Amino acid sequence: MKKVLFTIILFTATLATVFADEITFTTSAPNAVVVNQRFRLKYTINRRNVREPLVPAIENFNVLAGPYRSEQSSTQIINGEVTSTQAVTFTYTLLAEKEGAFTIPGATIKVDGKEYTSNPVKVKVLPEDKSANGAANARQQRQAQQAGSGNEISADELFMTATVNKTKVYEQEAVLLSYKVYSAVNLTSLNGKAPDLKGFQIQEVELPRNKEWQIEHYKGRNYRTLLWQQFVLFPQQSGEIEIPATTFEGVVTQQVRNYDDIFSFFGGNNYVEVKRELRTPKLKINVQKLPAGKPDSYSGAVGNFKISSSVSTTELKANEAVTLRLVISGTGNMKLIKTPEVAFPEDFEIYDPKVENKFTLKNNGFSGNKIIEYLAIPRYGGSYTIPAVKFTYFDINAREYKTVETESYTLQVEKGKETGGAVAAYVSKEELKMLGQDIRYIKRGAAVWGMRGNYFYASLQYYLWYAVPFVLFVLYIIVCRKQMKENANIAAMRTKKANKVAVKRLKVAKKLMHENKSGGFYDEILKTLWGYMSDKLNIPVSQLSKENIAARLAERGVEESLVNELHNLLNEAEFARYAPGDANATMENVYKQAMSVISTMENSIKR
Amino acid sequence: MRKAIYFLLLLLPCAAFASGQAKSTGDSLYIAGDYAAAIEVYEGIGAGGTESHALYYNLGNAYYKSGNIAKAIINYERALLISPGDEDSRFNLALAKSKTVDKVQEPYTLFITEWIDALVNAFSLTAWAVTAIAAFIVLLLALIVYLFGKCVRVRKLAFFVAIISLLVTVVANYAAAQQSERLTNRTAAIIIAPSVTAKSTPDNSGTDLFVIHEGRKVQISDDTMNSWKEIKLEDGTVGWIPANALEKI
Repeated sequence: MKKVLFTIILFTATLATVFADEITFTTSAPNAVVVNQRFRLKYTINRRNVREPLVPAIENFNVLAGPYRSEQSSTQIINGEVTSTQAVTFTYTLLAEKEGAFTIPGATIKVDGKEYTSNPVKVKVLPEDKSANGAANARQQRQAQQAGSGNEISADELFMTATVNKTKVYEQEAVLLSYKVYSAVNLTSLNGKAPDLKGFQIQEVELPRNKEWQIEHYKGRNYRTLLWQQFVLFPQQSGEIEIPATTFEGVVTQQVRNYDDIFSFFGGNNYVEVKRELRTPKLKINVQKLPAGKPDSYSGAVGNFKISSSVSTTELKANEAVTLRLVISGTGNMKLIKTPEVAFPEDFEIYDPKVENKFTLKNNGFSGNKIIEYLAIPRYGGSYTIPAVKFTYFDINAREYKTVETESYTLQVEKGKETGGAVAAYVSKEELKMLGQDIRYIKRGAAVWGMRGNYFYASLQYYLWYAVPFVLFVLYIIVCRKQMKENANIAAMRTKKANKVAVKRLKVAKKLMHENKSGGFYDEILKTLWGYMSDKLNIPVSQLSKENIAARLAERGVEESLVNELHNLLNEAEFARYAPGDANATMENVYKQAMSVISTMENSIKR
Repeated sequence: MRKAIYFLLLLLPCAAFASGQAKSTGDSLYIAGDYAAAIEVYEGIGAGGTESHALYYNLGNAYYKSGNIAKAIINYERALLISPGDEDSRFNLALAKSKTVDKVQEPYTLFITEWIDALVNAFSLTAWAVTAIAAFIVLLLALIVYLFGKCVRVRKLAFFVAIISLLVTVVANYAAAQQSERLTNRTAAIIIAPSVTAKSTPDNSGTDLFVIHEGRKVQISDDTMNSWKEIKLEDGTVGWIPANALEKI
């Protein structure tokens, strides 16, 4: 049973050592001390079961007391997690004998058989206050702290400085402004507003929350100092810019020893809180204008920069997005850099670039990366080039403008499925008619084929078709020109026609004449004449008479002489018919006359 | 010259026969839905030098069906050059144009110009040529009748017929000349590159003037260089584009 218990304890003990954290052994001492003033040197280890460390000889310092051992342990339970820490500190009191900067070496300690050494520390030993010697100085300090009520705190007991790390800068070059408080008294609180700085872009530096007092030797006196506020300023205009005097309010706790007051007799010191104004002097900064000759691509960046780029893809389809990523890295006024413009080819829809700032504020400006992403969508297919992007900045050290560039990219864009689908917002009436329609069917029948470039028109064949008929035409005219001339003589033409008409009508009469039938002949002549009149005048024969014939013929434009001739002929025919004479001779005459009358009538009567 | 023409004319029927066969093959491929193969067959016929309105029309259809709108437009335009009065070609061309990217506003033309164009386009080149010749022959015959005719009425009629025939001949020749001009001096072209930027000078370093897309009809105003052509749009804007971005109709 005992054996079992022992093993369990041993096991848990070893476990404990396994789960315990690493052993750390550190030295700590103030950064600066004053000569002949005591200060504490501490060695801390995070184990409890340890022995005194072995401290090597510390030169230049007197070890007045130590080591004092103090232990500390704490347990934290957060969200069910248990964390426990333990520490043991060995404290020595030291005194510095001479001024200078010295290193106190680390100590060695043994834990569980292993040896650990702590870090060495650097300590600066400041000279005493020049106003008095050592012992008197200490008393004076105490006196200052125990000053009577309403005792004024002199300017060199408590003041504030404002310093800049550069007084001559270029526009946009970073300037570090620091406010430091120097106190020889017990300053318990300090309040102030950041100065109103016109002409600068201000970025406050984040200082650690728990600020530690340092000891500084300033103008023959040792002060406790504290870096109160720090700003990084970017001048936005050129010329002499002033940082105005700033006022801070400090509260000093003073001991009041009033011997008169009976209550104070019973012990206890009264403490009075005295408010004191701390005023910083104003500062002037000479801001130089950036030199002339700013290139067009100047982005407003001052400092030192590099640029790099990448593209999301070089082969894509239309209506798909492509992203160009630009990274500007370096130190300077990164917040105020203008986003460089990327000249995407036409036909790309460009969207606002997305800017990501990944930089931190350092003493000489912002340092880090600025990532800019450009999104673009090509609408159509093709081969496009995104040209290189130029970035110009002003290098403060080299005092000149420098340009860096990215590479150019060639994109191959395939045609998307819907070419112009996205663009078809405007649809005209004609297009509405076309929507949903399909093309007409192919022509399947036998086609008429021709040779490309050889057409019938303007070919030799074509002209031949003109020339040949024309030639024939001319020939024909030449050959038959006599007939043409005759044709042109219209009067003769008409007479011929009229004669034809007369001959036709008198055909019967002619026959009778040749048969010597005079009675029949004259009869026929009369019949023909009346019949002809009737035809021409459109009056039935029964209504015709010699009288109305004359009138009608005159109406029709027939000359009077012709009318008389007709009358005579009619008379003669009638006479010859009913009164026999020499028939034959008269018949011929009458026939001829009838012919003549009829033809002339034919020509004269106006239709 | 004559020999060559007679030889060609002799060849014509043979060529026509072969082309007819090929076209039928192409047609069957089209009907089967194999548009790419049909295109190959049709283009092969064209390469041989024979052409037909129906060939270009079918080729245009095949390109349209396979999604190549620019080539479809080119072939419909070629079909219309040969047979301007064909309704089907006009309809299909309008449909293909509605599928292009650039929405083009046709410039305003006077109605007289439109009438004249409509007249010129009513028949094919060959039809006009034949009409001209026929009218000319009728003119000559009418003149003969006029000069040698006996009856005055007939002669008057012949005179009018002669005047009309002369008019018809002149008009037909004019129409044929217009069409012939279009066929021989091809200044119209269609953009075949998906998109092209026109420059102010025939060089890549010129200023960018405007962007046009495939399927757009342009007029070539300067054809002297090999690799760059100056083009003119409907509204009169000019610019230079690379020669491989367009194809002549």
